Amino acid sequence: MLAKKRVSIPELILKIAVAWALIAFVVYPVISLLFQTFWHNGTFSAGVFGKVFSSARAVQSLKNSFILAFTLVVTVNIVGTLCVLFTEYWDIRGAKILRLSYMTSLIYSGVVLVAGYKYVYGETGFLTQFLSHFFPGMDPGWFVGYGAVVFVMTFSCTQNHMMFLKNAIHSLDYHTVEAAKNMGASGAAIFFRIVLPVLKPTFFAITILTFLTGLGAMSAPLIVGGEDFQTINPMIITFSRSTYSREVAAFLAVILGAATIILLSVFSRVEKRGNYVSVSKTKAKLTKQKINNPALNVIAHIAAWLMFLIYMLPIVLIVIYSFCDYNTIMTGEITSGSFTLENYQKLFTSIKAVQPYLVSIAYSLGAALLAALISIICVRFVRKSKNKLNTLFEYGALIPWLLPSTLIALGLTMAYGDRNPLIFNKVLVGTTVILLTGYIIIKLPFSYRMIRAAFFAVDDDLEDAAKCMGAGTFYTMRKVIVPVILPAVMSVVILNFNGLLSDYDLTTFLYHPLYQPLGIVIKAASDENASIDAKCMSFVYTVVLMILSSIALYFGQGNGMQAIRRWKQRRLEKKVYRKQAGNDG
Amino acid sequence: MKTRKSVAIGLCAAAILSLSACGSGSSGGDSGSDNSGNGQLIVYTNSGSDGRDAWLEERAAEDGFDIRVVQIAAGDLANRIVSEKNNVQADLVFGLNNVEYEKLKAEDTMEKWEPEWKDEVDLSLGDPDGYYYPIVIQPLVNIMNKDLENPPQDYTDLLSDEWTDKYTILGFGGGTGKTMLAGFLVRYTDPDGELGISDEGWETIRQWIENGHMETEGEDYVGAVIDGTRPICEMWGSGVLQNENERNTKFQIMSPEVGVPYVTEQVAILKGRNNTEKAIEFANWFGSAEVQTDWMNEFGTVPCNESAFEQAPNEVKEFVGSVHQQEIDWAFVAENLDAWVEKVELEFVQ
Amino acid sequence: MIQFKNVQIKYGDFTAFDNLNLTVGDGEFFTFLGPSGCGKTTALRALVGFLTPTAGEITLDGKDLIQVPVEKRGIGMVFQSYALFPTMTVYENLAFGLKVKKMASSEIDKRVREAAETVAIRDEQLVRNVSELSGGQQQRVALARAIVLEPKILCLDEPLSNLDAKLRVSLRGELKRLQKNLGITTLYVTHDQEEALTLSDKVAVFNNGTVEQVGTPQEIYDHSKTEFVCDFIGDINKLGVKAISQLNKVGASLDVKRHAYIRLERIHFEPGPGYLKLSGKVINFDYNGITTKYHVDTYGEVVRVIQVNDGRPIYKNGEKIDMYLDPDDIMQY
Repeated sequence: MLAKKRVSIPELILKIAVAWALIAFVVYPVISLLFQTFWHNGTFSAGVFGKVFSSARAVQSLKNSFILAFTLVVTVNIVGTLCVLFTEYWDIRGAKILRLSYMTSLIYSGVVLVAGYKYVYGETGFLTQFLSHFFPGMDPGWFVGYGAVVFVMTFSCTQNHMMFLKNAIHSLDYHTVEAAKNMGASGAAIFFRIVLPVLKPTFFAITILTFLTGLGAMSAPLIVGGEDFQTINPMIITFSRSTYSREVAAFLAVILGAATIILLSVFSRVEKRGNYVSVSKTKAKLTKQKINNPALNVIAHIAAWLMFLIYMLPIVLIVIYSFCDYNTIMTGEITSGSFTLENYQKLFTSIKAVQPYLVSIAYSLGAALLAALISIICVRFVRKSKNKLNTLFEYGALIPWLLPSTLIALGLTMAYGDRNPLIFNKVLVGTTVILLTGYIIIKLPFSYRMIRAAFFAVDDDLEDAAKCMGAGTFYTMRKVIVPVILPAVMSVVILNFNGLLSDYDLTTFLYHPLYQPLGIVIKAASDENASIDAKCMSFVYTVVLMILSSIALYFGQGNGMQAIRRWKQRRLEKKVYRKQAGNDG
Repeated sequence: MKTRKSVAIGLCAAAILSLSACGSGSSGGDSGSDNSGNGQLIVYTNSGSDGRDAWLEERAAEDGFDIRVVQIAAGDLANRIVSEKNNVQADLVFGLNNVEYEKLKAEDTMEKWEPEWKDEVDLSLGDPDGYYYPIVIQPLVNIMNKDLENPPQDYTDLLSDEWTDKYTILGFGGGTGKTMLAGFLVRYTDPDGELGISDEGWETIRQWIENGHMETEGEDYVGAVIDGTRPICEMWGSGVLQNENERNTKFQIMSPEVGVPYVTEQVAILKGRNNTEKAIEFANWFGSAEVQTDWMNEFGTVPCNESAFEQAPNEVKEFVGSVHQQEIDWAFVAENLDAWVEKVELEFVQ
Repeated sequence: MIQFKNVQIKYGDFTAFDNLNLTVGDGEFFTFLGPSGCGKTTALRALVGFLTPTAGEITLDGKDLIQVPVEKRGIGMVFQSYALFPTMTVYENLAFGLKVKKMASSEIDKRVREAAETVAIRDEQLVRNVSELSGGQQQRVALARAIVLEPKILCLDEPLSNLDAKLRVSLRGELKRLQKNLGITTLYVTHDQEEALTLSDKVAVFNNGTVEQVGTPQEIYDHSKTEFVCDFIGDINKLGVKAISQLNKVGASLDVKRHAYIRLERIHFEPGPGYLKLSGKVINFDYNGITTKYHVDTYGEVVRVIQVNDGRPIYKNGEKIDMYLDPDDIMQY
């Protein structure tokens, strides 16, 4: 290619460091785990194949996982897109309140979220009780199985839409919409021909995430799947905890991993065919679209507010229950005597109860930031270097998607339970660092994928411009490129932070015994051995978690960032005008 | 420019290196020689939930022991001790059952020792090799609604149509469910059978699972016993008394002729932290009649320490008197349990 | 003085250009002119340092430039897309390069204000975000951002192509004035020949990876070296064989086998010394205020003639007319 290549020494050092980190902490643990589980005394163990495929339950669960993944790709995209359209694109009354309710999917997840839905639709649930007044013959256990799982997951997995699709729709050039209108296009034509194509890259990324969420579904099938609709991930996690059954877990995980690889490669091929970069030099801000057809307008309003109810009911119940005693929670019968502040009092009685919060915040924030940093570095290597070998950084960053976090944790403990030359003869197990490492690893693929998408939208000229003004590569990244992709990076950091705050599956293997994170404490509270008082506490923990997540959201996404930006601008204004006054005087 | 650049690189490199740099500042450290921390004893247990950890720390402090009790779920505790064996984090472990301790022994993670109170306990409950010693007994039983008429006398009675979907089987990932399964299976030991169990045994287990209800996450199975919707449920010993108290009710206890599995919680000293003497001192204190009596009174446990058990409240004695221990070859169970669970999970559970 | 010596640039199999030789003098306004895809932007980017030539050398005042990294070359650049940093205000955009140089903030402030004044950016615009500016204002910011660093060389890549016609013409004037005042060696890439002629001290006409001609605007216009240049620059008549033979009959000595061209304004309606006559008939005319452009049929071929409307009568369609031209104005290739 081009003749002389300048090799920048600092960049080379960084490249080696990142490559080493990816090999040591992503590739090596995964490979050593697979090797140790499948390779017994020099032979590949094939028995696991028969075990899994002769098990009706395993096969059915695998099938269910795939069915769920494909279903969710459709339903989540529909609901998620509607969420964004109702709040950002169409002119719907009360859009601000709607937005807040749709964003609740960003602040809680997992067992508690599904439990929240169960309190609405389950046997003793709010809605079930209400309906049975009108239809006395109805089955109170109606909310179970495939439909229930799809319903819960459809509404709870729209967080990526609310984050990334929302950003994407705002970066749309409104002039293009006006131009289409001017050429006589109808609202529908504008939407499908002008708006959707621009959002295509975002949809690709979100669809991948949704598919993976479906494949790895855990809480929803466990709680509302019933006997007919169990998925594979809970089985993988159960088996991975037993040394004996680990190969079954690894084998099942490899099947999911293979599916993931196929999906990713298909998508990246399709994606290459068309990437739309906005060509507009001066973009106009999006103006909300009126739905002209009155019937459609009414339908849209009804749908939007129905979704508001679906989103709000579970979370409202969780908040109410956090003030209730155990019997109320289990029976669903709220009376005036149900309410108590005791649950919250317990939370703040001792310093000890606060420590898990601090530990989790520190770990989650650290991991979220570092994962974003490493992703930015990797994306740059892959995008800017002409050497094809750099694509390996991409594979390295995406590998953790192929295995459930439980197995990644096991891989880390197996690889670094003893002195290992790869990490300078250190033992990682039992240190405080291994959990941070684990958190970074499991958040790397998501971070990489979303930041890569953001990089695509950056004009190459920006970097060139900074360079010819004398800025070096790192300075340019820091001052020019990263600020441009910062909204996307912030979204990634916040989603990761919120996701890690109460993580259990990975944490349980890696946490340092003296620094117990929240997930462990919450799990202990809902453990079978826990007293019923402790079980009430899990609601309190959840509410506090939701508050923490909301704070993070505020700073990363909403008004917090704007406030900071306004403050900066005011400072500059002052400076400029003061100087001017000084000059005049 | 140069300095800025190197600062930026330094930051990135530091971030990445810190991933590996083994928490030198943490209490972890990387060698076994200097791991004793500040003299505090770290105690691992799966039996520290529900305020037991805090109570024990306080009670120990009163008698001059600086300890930190770390509660870890039963399913993970043994795995954790094994994986930490090259960077040991704890001095003692208590809780767990014989099956788990056998795993720890095989991995050479424990010190041999002898408690002062060894004459006060039934040593046959512990380790013949002298690594771990019994402290608390947990009979694992089926609890039944107090008004249930004509209750089943044995697990085998549950297979009939009468009890279809009337009993909850706890998940096999947890200690209770797993041990109950083992207790049921070992009735059908057959050296020629699959995994040491006869065909009849496997068939019985299959029917038992198919006819019953597997616990699902988040459900209130004790509530189902109380309101009679699913009036029979597996339960661990202290859970029986705890639930009776908290929910202000009484349960019937199923007492099969062969007995029920007794799980014995043990205490052991871990290798590798150079705190052995202090740890043994603490174990001597913890297993003593006095502390075990307090422990029992506070949390409704059934102590192995005979002089402690003599002072047990009536309800505890009554409960223990209502059942008797099933003969179980724990070595055989330890050898096969994981394989049994896997088979049951893959082939029988729906 | 900038020199391109035998420069070759290849991307994989594609050769942008094979053997580029150019010399740009100090303080010159030098334009790379050519159609899209002719390699002019590639040459500019090689000079700025975004591309490394596969062969040859680029020197500045005799010193090799290729080994100097982009950020050390001290060449200012204005991009076609402007490449303004969207997350920064106008002020921060202007101050960016100065901050990189670690200048004192008072000095930065002074320079930013000077540059802003030079391109007529007002104070209230300085604190605005660049995305809030109109296209013309963005263009000014991009220019100011480049000149604030006082570069030895300023490179402009089609900087006016995103603007409307009127703004383009007025900014063109400002650009020229600015360049003269600052005296910066300026390299300007454009596909607009009018822009090139108006602005440049010298123009290099690019075609398909080769330089067809380098010269002053007048040289390349009046004495185009190649058929491509004379066709690409300005408006021109290509004379047909019949017209050429007719001219040869009345005294010219043109080669019938070669193509012959003549500029529109070099055909007159009045005779002059040494002029040859060509008769025809007006078939159409475009009245344009200052000038009128006639389409005249002569011997079955159409030539176009431009006349200043200085009070002379306007010929009507179908009117017979005699045209006169100097054979020296005919360019043959």
